[in-house]
Amino acid sequence: MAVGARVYPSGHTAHPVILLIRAFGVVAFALLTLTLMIGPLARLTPRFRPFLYNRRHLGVLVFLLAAIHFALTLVWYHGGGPLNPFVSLFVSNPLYDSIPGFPFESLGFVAFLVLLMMASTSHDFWLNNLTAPVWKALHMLVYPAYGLLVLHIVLGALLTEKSIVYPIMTGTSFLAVASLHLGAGMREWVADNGMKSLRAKGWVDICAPMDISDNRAVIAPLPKGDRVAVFRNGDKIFAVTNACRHQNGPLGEGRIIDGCITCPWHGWQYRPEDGVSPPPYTEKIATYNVRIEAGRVLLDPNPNAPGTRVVPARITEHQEQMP
Amino acid sequence: MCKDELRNDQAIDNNGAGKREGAAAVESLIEQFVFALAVYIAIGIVVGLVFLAFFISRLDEAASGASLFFRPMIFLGCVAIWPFVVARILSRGKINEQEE
Repeated sequence: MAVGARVYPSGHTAHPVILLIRAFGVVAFALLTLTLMIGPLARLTPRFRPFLYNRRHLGVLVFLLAAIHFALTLVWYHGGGPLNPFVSLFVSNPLYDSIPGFPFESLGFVAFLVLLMMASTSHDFWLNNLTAPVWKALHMLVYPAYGLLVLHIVLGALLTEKSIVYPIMTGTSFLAVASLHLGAGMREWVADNGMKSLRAKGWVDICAPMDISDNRAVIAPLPKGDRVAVFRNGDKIFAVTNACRHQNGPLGEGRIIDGCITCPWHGWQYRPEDGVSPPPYTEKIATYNVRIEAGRVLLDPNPNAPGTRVVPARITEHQEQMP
Repeated sequence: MCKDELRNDQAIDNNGAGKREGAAAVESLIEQFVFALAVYIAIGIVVGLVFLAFFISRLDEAASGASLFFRPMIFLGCVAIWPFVVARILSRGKINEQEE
């Protein structure tokens, strides 16, 4: 309110109710901006992932602040007259065919309805009963609502403001939200393209890196009928044939012991990086090339010659956190 | 009078008769919209109360053991998306008939 009073146009009385209306509007918009930034920030760096849980709570808070802003506006500007306040809200400024004089109140009202719809269906009960795709589609409406709110501010307050506080706040907020979404989207697009390109070359999608327990393997069938054992050792992913040289034991059902893949049947061991038994033994098994793209382990189905050293795929912090 | 009101009044004064007719048409349209919204909310309140009183536990078993605050929390959602709630009640009724 203090900031609102300082930036209020000179020559007009800054009534406390008007300052209160603006203050609730500004705080609701700022909080919505922060809420919308959490998603792309969490995609760009896992440090922000814990905040994802709080998005719904923040969204409900945004709605409550917006509701106070709306109620005060309705009473202060449109109450007590001959017209129904809700009708007055839309017709007090009838310049719907004008861009500079457009009744910004209607834009705010539509955005408020979206926020109401989202807040009222934010409980897990609705997520379960609406089904995840419908619930998500409904809650994606927050982006058009945010756009409407930007216009609400631009067409409303900005046209009568002399201060640069509101333009800077609105512009910075919009740019921050837009650029973060663009950045996160670009990153995923590059990753997805990398995966598509590898898939086009016949690479096989195995699983997410963290689907593999540490020092254990996931066994996957390959197009030609072979089976491959994809091991995880800490942040490294290796793949070898699933068949042990000894009696074709299922290596993928074994685990990594002392840094070596150990067959569950008779304990024969192979180094994961080259498929060679540790000295003094000399047995060799086929290795496979693996990559991690877009949070998925991809495997070249063409085996390397037994004993061929391969570079393990490394799980980055980001990939580790990906679902 | 605040700046916003000044701007609105000025905008109305600057318009001619044709604009006033247009404004009357807009006002009529808005009145209908507000009335429709009021009817939607009124039906939503009735549906919400009936749903929370009789049907919620049948549709979602987890709701039967929920806290006292649970029903008030989802009441607003019932009002907001009551057509979906009605559709769920009706579809559940059909499933029960088939099971019997």
